[in-house]
Formats: sequence, structure tokens, C-alpha cells
Amino acid sequence: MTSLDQFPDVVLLNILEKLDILDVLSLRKTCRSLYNFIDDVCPNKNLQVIKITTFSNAIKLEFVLPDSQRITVEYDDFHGTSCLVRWTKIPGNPKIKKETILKNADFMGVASRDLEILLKHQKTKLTYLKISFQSEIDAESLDFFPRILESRPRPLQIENLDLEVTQQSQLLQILPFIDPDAVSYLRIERYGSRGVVLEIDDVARLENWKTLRNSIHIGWNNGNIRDFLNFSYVYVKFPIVTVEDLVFLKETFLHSSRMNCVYLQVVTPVDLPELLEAFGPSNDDINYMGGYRKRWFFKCYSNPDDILSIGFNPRCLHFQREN
Amino acid sequence: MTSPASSSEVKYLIESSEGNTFDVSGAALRQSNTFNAMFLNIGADGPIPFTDYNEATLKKVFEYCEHSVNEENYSGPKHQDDLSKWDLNFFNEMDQKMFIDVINASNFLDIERLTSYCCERIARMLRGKNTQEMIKVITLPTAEELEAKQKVEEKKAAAAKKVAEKAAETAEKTETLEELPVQQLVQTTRNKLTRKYLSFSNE
Repeated sequence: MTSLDQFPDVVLLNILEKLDILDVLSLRKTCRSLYNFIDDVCPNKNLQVIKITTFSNAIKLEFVLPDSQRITVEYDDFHGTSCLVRWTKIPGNPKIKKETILKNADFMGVASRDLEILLKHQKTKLTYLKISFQSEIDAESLDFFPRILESRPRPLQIENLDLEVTQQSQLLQILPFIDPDAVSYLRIERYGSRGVVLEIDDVARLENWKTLRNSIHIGWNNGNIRDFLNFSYVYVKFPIVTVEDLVFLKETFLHSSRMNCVYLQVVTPVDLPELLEAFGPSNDDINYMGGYRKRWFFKCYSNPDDILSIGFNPRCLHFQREN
Repeated sequence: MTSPASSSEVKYLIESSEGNTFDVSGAALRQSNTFNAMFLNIGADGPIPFTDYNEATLKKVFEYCEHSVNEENYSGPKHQDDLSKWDLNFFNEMDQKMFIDVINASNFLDIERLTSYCCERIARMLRGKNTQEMIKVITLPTAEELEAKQKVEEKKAAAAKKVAEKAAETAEKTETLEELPVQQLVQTTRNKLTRKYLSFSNE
């Protein structure tokens, strides 16, 4: 019997709220009744930052506690049969790593269990979540992400979501299960060789994608500018963009009260004569880098006080709302 | 019970589990949300019964309330250094059982500050420890363990007593041993003399 068993739940919860996640997890292992109580109430531990990096034979989990302590846990495959867990804490000496070998344990299983516990204690909005898939690992073997995210009573709220992926299926494991209303900044980049284009056609069809509202920064992808018109700030790179798409973007921008900025980079230069025909004669000026650019200005339909300014050079277009 | 009034001079009678009653100032008692909800507006005839808790516990709880009356905007200690000398004494005076009783009473009386303060105290005992160290902090001995501990202590006491007795005996013996040569000498001399006299008389 422990002295904590003698307290009512309100008092126990009060104590647990004063401890950080590491203390709570240590306390959870002291006795069966506390284990059950902690799993039952899952006191909110209000983490700010979580970074998850997956390699082909290891997973690295980093998180920052409210008091700015940074914890790094690495789960390595050990001879194919065991899991080597290495643990560091900063402030502290980052070279000193606590190590333990879990026999007959799969590194992914151990890491996913820890991540699940960590996220169970996250009831408030996470400031920053980065998930980086640094290998061509098959999405199915990392199916713990959807399992963990889906098992939550309500979707995980993330303010800044940063995803580095090697293929579209990895995005499909995360994006459907988060709260789209909470995301204010979403960054998607393809991990690995720069020349390869990320496919996003299935992602763009997600319900959650259509309800994302704020900023997006996305690297080379095979999508269309029409897939990004729900965002207010867009930074996107396409292999090619047609004048027809640009006209559509301009018209949508003029009618929209929400769109603020679209920054487009393209590999294949835009056909200028065709664009001049569509947008009309341009004003030419020098940009802040000293280069010539063409500019167009249009009055917004949604608010006549607002002006849409379009800056152009052959590989880059900048649509900006000016007040 | 004295009629409720805003003056801090007003005293209320509190009844403990033993049936004893004692005085608590209105200002101290008003820190209890339970009291505020139950008695402040409607009043009560006779002493206020908080009969789930013993007198010592309740007195300890209200001692804290009386002390903290003048620190209304206090938000609790952030670090060990924040504990005043009075606070340290207050907690150090309590044994484990009393501490647990005080937390439970404070929780029942809904005295937020004291409850939070006590919880912070416990959290500090656990913070930064690993599971094994935490087990040592929070484990209470069972009845058998207490009995066994008592037996061990009794045994120890008995052993110590024996050792003391033995030591005393040894000391006594040493004393007699020290005396022995003299006595023997006296006795031997006496025997010799007796024999001598006897031999004389026989002659």
C-alpha cells in the first residue's frame, strides 16, 4: 500500500498536475493502482514540441517539456531481435546517454508505445510537431501513426505541423487524423533528392485538406493551384503552371476575402505573351533583388479598398493582397 | 454558533470526531469553500460538525488558515526557497499520518491553497526520482510489516537489555575477581592460622 492510495482522486490529480511527464511515467510504474489511475485520468502534460524522425532501422523521438527541458529518446534495432533505447536530457550533458536493451522487442513497437503514452497526456494544443520519414520505409510498417492518432477521443491539435516525407502514403497516415482548424502553419517537403516531385493528388481530396485555412509551405508537387485556394498564405512549387490556372487563381483571389498571399515557383517558365494577353498590359519595375519584373494591379471584388498585386518573372509569381 | 458577520473577530465553534469543540476565527474559516457553501449564508445552530476528522488534524488545518489570513493574494511557493520559516516548521512538525489526514481534511473543507500547498510538498518529494526511489518515498508499511518491525524492535530492545545485563554482570564479576585474590589471601591466611592453632591445640 502506498501513501498516495489514501488520497481522494482530486488530490491525486492535483499532485500529478504538478509533476512533469517523466515523473508521471515513473510514478505510473510504482504500483498497479497508480498505473490504472494515471492511465484513466491522463493528466495533461502540455508539451510544446514533439519531433519524430523515422529511419529504416531506428526511430528518434524528441520532446520539449514546459520548463524547456529537451528529452531525446532513440530506439534502434539491435541485431534484429532487440531494441536499444538511448536517452538524453538537456540541460545536462548531451554526450551522456542512458542506455538499455529491451530483449525480444521490436524498436517500432517500443517507440510507438512511448509515443502513444506521450500523446495521451497531450490535451492542449501542441505548438510544433515535426514528423520526418527519412527512408523509403513502407507506410504499412509505420501504421502506428494512424492507430495512435485515431484512438484519441478528439483529434490532436497542432499549431505548426512540419512533415518531411518520401511518399504520399506517409502524408495519408497523418493528415486525416489531426484537427484542421487548429493548424496555422503546415509545411510539407519531400525528403531526399530534390528533383523528385511529391504526389499529392490523394491528399488534396481529403476532407481535412479542404478545411485547412491558414498557411501552407509545400515543396515540388504534382498538384494544381486549385488544390490550395482554401489557404490564406500559400508557398508552393510546381513543375509547370498554365496561364489558364493563373487566370483562375487571379479570379478566385479577387473574389476571396480570405486569400492574402500566393507565392508560386515553377520549373518550366510561364508563357509570357499568353499571360500578357490574359492579364493585360503590365507595369515593369525592379524588385528588391535588383531584377526586372512585371506587375499587374487589380481591384478586389470582395473589398474595393484592397488591391491584388501580381509580380511576375518567368519562374516565379507572387500574388499579394495590398490594403 | 456565533452569528456570521464580516468582522474577523467573530469566532466559530468546530466539533471534531472526538466530540470536542474549539474556536476558529471567521476569517480563517472563510478560506474553506465547503464552509462558505454550507454555513456562511444560512448559519448553523451550535458547533459546526466536521466530525470526520480528529481534533489535532482540524487544529492543524485551521492553524494554517489563521496564519494565511493576511496573505490573500498568495499563489503558492514556486521553489524550495519560497518556503518561509513558518511554512517549513508547519510541515516539519507533522508526521506522515498527520500529513495525510491534513491533506484529506483540507480537500474536504476545500481550502484550495492548503491543498495545493500540500500537493506541491508531495510533488517535490517525487520530482526527479526514478521508479525505485519513488517506491521508497510512497510505500507505507503494511500491518504485518509494522508488527514485524515492532517485533524486530522488541527483539533488538531485548537483545540490548541482555547485552546491558551481561555487561553489568561482567562488571560485577570483574569486581569480584578483583577482590578474589585479597579474599583468597585472607581466607588462606585464616585457614593456615586455624590449622596452626588447631595443631597447637591438638599438641
